[in-house]
Amino acid sequence: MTTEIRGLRRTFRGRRGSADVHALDGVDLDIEPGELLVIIGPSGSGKTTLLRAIAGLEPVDSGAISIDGRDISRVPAGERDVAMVFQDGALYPHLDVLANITFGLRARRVPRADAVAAAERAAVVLGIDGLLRRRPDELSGGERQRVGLARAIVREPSLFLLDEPLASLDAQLRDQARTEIRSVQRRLERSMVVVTHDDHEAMALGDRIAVLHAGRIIQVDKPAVVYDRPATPFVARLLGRPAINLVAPETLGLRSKDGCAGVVGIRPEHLRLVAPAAGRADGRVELIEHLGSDVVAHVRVGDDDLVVRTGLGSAFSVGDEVGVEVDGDAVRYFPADA
Amino acid sequence: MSVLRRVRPELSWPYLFGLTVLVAIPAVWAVVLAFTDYTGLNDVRFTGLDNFSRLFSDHFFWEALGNSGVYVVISVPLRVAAALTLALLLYRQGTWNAAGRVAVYLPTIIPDIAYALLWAWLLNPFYGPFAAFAAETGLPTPEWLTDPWGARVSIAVMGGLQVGEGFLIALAWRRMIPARLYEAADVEGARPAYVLARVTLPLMAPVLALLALRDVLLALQLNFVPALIITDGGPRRATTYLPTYLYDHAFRHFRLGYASAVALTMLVTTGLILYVQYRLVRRWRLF
Repeated sequence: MTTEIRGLRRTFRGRRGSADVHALDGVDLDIEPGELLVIIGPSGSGKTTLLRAIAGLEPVDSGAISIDGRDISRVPAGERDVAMVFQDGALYPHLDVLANITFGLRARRVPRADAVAAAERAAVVLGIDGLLRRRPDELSGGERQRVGLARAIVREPSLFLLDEPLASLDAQLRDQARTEIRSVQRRLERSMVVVTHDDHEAMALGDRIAVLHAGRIIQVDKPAVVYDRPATPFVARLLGRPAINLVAPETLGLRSKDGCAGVVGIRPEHLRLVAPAAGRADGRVELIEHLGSDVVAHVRVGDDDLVVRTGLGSAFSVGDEVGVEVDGDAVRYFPADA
Repeated sequence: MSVLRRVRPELSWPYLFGLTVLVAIPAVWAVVLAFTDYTGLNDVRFTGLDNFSRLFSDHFFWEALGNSGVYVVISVPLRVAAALTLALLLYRQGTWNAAGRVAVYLPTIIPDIAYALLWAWLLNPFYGPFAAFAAETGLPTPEWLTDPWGARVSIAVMGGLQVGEGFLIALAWRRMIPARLYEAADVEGARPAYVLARVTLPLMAPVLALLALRDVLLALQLNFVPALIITDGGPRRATTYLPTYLYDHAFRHFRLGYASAVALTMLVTTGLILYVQYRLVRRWRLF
């Protein structure tokens, strides 16, 4: 079941003289059957608006959304065959977990016994079958998230929409919940769209990543491709921590290429510290950060600050004059129009 | 907190003075008078429980209690339903809704006497607009104020439309329900009636219970002005409520001791009703 989004636009009128905001500025996007597509973008990039537009919660000014050729852009939310999981689950506080999960089925007049059976199956899948009689305020953040997911699963929709599903969880739970979402999606073999601002989450979760910036899709591809061959400096900076180095080619002793922008990207793991004059550039170590499994050195080269990922046993210390060697194949030249 | 700390306690003295002179002393005095045959002219003489035994054997007292009960039964559900319905209709932002909210609140800020006189005119069988409308369309003119039940219902409806505060409370509560719960219901394909029954009403239940408690309290007192101005307790004492009964004894017959006993009885009755309601609400775990 392919979902096709074509030329989607949504403009919020500026109030009292402030400029209009183009939350969606002509979005084209295909969601392949059974894939998990992650939409990533900084806050204000329109990613939540896009998700809400697909769900039918946000009207669009123009453009089309279709599932298997059926245009749903004017169809009410409840008739779109999509399910949405909200950031905190959006659970009904007065209903217990079972009633929350069966809410949509009962609203659609599914017989009670069938709805309960479906809810119990989904609860087993998500490991919340022991919580069916609890109220939402008796649940942890992770449990609430799973109830929200269970509510979506029992509907068996063509498309799942998840709005920042992991944002309200603490770091430890997040990794676990991420794996769970992934395995549930694999098992159901349904398309899923996950919105996030977290690059780590996007790369770990997505079959493909769509990068959204100022209401436009800039790049859609497999996580490894988006990471290794970012379309623009913006995409390059969005993925990866510590962030990619964006410098003039000359800083690294490289020549600029014809038809390319005057900036190149090189990830910290593709730089090495060597003895002075032994690398492509020379500089001075300004700061060394220990990040657990990593050590990151900030090296001043001319007017630029280069971030270099060094091994744990690195012999250099702050103040040292060093050379910087570059893994030439990993240098990313951006096209001039990016 | 810092603002509260800076407030000087002396500032409460005028209020405490008013409270003492106008409320506390009269209240204590009324409790004392309830056990006397004081009329305002004679010496205070204690008569024990005489007032109460006379009260409980007075047919008119039971009638007034019954009328008050009828009033509560008609006006409280009407008031809660009106406050809720109007709040649900008008909680959204927008010019028309804002105008609607003002219109709903207006009857509440009109002084009680003006409001009662307005209704006396509206319901007037000779030159009131309702009667004119009935005459124009050939409908019979009901005896709104001359028939006992007509008068009872009329007075109850009058109070039922002054729901400004209850409306505001319901409105504020409705606005506190997160929009996401409704969006989730939207995506789940729930119809408006289902959302109302399964989401809005259960989430509004605590405030409805609170309004019901408050309105019972209010309904036992609030009908005094219309009953005095429009019907003067009639016809055939159909709108003689407890406050009207009390007023007649205190300020028409000057039986201050007896009237104090009525007041004390009202206080205890109201307290009992509220206690029972409170227990029910607690049992339903609405709070």
